[in-house]
Amino acid sequence: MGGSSRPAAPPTQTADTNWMVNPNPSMPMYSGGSPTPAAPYGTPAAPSSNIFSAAQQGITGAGAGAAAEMGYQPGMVNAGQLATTSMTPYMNPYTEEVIRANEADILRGAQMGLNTLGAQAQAARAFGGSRQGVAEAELGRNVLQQLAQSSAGLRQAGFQQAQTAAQQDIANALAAQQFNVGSGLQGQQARLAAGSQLANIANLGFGMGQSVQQGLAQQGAMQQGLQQALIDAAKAQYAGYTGAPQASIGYVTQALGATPVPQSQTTSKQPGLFDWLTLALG
Amino acid sequence: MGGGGGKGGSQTQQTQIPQWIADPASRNLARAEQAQRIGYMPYYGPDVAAFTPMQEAAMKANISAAEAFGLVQPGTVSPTAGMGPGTEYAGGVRGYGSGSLYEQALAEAAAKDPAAFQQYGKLFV
Repeated sequence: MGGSSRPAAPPTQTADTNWMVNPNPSMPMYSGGSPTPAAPYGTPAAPSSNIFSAAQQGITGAGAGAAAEMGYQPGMVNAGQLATTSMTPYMNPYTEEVIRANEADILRGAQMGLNTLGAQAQAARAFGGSRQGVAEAELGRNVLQQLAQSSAGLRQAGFQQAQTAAQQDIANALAAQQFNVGSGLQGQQARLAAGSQLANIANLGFGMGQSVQQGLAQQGAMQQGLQQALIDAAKAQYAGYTGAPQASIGYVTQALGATPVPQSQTTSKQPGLFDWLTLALG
Repeated sequence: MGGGGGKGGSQTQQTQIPQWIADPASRNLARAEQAQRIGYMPYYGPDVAAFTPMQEAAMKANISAAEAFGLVQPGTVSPTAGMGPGTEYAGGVRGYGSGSLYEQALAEAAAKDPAAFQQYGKLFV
């Protein structure tokens, strides 16, 4: 430390670092200048792009999906009824033609039968007789009966076939509706599962973000603590500097107090007149 | 110490410090006065240990995770951001010293109150 010529600003420390193994100070010794405002470092990312915003979007999406699925209405199943089903589309469009062909066949057979009866009657020289008339009448009655039974059977078979087809269609439609309802429910379950997975991922991301954030905060606290310790050390040094004059007083005081002062006392007496008289009389 | 003579005579009393203690005491006082002229001697060694390489590696990994998660802009922070990597002292010890902060504080104080510092300087040779 200088005396009266001591500069106002203390000298920079340079020579004392020569003993260092690698004098590569990251915090160079002070070389003048006032403290400058600290610039911020560690620019935080845009809020829309970090994991917390992603987690928030996931949570919002999962919640919205779940809310939407809460209102899911499965499709209605309407079982068709045969009674209210028209048979027309199921009827064979060729029914009348089949019946006509069948009638023609029967009538052609009947005609052949009449011809045979006529030929037999002529051979028996009884053509036009009552026997032929009865035989032909009998044939005609049978033909008419067969015509009626045949057409009725054909029409009934056609209707039954149409009814069967209609019932099959009704069953098919019912099965299709049931399948669609099942598919809808499966789709809803899949959407709910996807939403749940999204919520889980969002929750996972939020937790990971929090862990990283806590790590950053812990690191920051360590750095801040280190710098605070440096500041405290510098303050202690400054206190040592400013307290040096007062502390130096103690040096002399201690030196005085530490010195024992043994004393030797010497008493000498110079006799007077009375001393001599006393001595003479005694 | 009394005077002598007269009818009744006189008596003299003398107190003396032994020489064997007087000499060291004088030297001790002189040394104390010499020490008084020595000003404050700051410490320029390390005050705080720096982070170890393992600590810095863990911090870097965490920072990388934070960057990946978008919590900080990539490349803007490091384990020693805002404080430097520290100084390597004897024996490979890395740390931070308060010397520069102390000197900066002194310079600031001297600039704000030069008279006091001039008076301070006169106290020490």
